[in-house]
Amino acid sequence: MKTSLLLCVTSLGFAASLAAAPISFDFKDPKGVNAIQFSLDSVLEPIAGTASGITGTVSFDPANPSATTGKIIVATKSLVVPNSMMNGHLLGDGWLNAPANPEITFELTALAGAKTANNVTSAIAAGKFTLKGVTKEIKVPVTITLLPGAFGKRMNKPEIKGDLLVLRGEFTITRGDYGIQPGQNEDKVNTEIKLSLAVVGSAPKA
Amino acid sequence: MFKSAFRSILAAGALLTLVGSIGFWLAMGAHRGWSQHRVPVSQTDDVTGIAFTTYENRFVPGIDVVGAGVALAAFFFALSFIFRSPQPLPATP
Repeated sequence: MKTSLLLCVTSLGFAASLAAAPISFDFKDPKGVNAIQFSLDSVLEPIAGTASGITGTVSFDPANPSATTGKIIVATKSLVVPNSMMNGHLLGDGWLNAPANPEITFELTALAGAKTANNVTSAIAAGKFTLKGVTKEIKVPVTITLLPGAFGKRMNKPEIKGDLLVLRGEFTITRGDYGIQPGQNEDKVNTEIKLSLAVVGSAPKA
Repeated sequence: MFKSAFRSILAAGALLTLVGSIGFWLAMGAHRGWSQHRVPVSQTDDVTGIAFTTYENRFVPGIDVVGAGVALAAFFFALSFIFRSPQPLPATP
């Protein structure tokens, strides 16, 4: 009797630990939707564009969102603005120098003040943001939405099981802090760059 | 005679350039920003609700096209003054 009870408790504990295990989400989106939007004020109109070359993984534990870790990587050459000449300047030596700085990264080191309701977690993500070879610690208010079982529906293959994780956040950086034309052309192009993140990670289940 | 004809051609060219550039800009949507070589189109992913941007590869002239047209027209017009016919001297008493 005692052995049976012990076995039962152990099994339940094992099952609970499996259920609470962190899930690894891949942010290379099979539908190609993932992008970071950026904008900065300039003469005539704001310069707005997108960066769509998103990869990376985030490990998220629904039972313990504060333990979330991960890294989002953006391919610098994927930055696009509507004007071709501006695009050339943006990726060129004077601005991002894309060939020498092929990646823009955010590495999540801590998730503070996590509050979860209805699968939506609000928190402050602290991490290392690297742009043009300069790494700085930043804090970004984020919302993390877990969509259990939504992977198959999104891929139009309901037979495939799996979850989705949507990350949303907005933050502002100063271009001079990252060696992007520091102190130059400030009357023409604003020093502040607004970044808006809305990306989805997938965790298909075999 | 030749100078006068060439002057007329330059003046007409200036007018055509001015009207043409403004007309082209108006016809293509009168975009008041910089020219666009690809046009952003907003879309939404149904399942996640993520708003994302795709691009249509088409040209939309901006205010820079109008500026270039006005500058070129001004150049043609200024050039036309070089080919002015000599003015008759005022009659002296």
